Amino acid sequence: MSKNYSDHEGPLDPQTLTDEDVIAAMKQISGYLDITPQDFKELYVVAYEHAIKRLLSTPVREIMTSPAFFVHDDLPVLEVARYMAQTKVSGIPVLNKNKDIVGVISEKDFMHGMSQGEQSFMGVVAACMVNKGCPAVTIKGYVAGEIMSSPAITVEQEDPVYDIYELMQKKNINRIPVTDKNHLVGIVSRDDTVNILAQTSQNLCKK
Amino acid sequence: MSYFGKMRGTTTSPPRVSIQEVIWSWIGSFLGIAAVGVIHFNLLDKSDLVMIIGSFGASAVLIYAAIRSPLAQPRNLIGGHVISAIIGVACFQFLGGQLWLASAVAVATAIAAMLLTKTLHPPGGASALIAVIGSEKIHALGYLYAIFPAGTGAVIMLIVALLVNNIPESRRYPEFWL
Repeated sequence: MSKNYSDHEGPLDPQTLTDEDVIAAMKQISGYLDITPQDFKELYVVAYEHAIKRLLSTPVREIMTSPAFFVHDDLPVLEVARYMAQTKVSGIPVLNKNKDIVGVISEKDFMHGMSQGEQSFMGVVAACMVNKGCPAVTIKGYVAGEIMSSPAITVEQEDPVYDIYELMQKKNINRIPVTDKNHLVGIVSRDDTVNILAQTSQNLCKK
Repeated sequence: MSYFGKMRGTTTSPPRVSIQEVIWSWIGSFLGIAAVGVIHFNLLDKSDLVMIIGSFGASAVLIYAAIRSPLAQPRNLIGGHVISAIIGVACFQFLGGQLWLASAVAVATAIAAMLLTKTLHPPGGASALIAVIGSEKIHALGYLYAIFPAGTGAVIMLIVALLVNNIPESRRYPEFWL
């Protein structure tokens, strides 16, 4: 995944435009064009960013998965693990008694909780092979609220897709719960944003 | 970019235009200046009126040779000359005792006024300056200078631009009116 929405590989990527391309185009268009190649490129890059923002202005509501699975903060982690296995999700929002979103638990949080230093799946596998017991035993007594990442980063369902794309890049997270006035209504994953980005650049190509 | 680094420039010069473009630019500017020239030298030579001012030479560059430029559009051509001319006359009348000051205030204020009104037209700066440093004939016109020759001359040159610039398939004028 690239750092920035305008870095993504695409046929209209302004970064691939060279001075030679612009000069060739200026020769092709008859008449004296009152602009330098550099100014044209600057205009193009900025206009391209605006186009991406406009095309990614779809509200989050339209691409989220809804309803979203969730767990309560007092649920034992064993139950959380079982529920996540059963529902085949790699991350799940955590709610308190008032149904407020207080955090998110992902596979990463389990790793952090159960291994000192080993923070990857392979690290845990290796630890399992070396020791006789399973490292997950160390967190068996905990509840969801104790290992979750908090506070939860959320988006409102009317926010544009563009915002979550930036948020995921900046916070380095893979899923964001979607709220409607603080109530959980769905969840968006990094895959959802990649899909819409792929669609967007396909649409751009067609045009 | 550092202060001195900026002075190196960042890009290359735009390409040269085709020979047809050169020829049409020549024809347009010839006819445009001829139109105001005939009125000035043949029709008004006995009167106290003038029709041709130096700044029209600069306008010709834009409206016959750089016809796509925002600076060359009718709004800028007419607005730039008229607004700058009024400012030039006012500067001469109020600050005429100090010609250097009247000149500087006229040009600087004309530029600011053109920017604010989205009518930037470089020859407008010359029209403002001519109102201050021009002949006795120009000074005698007072604010009429803004309409005649500045406004009227610009309109005549605009008509020529509309007629000539739209003849070749590859050219069109204007890009916009307002």
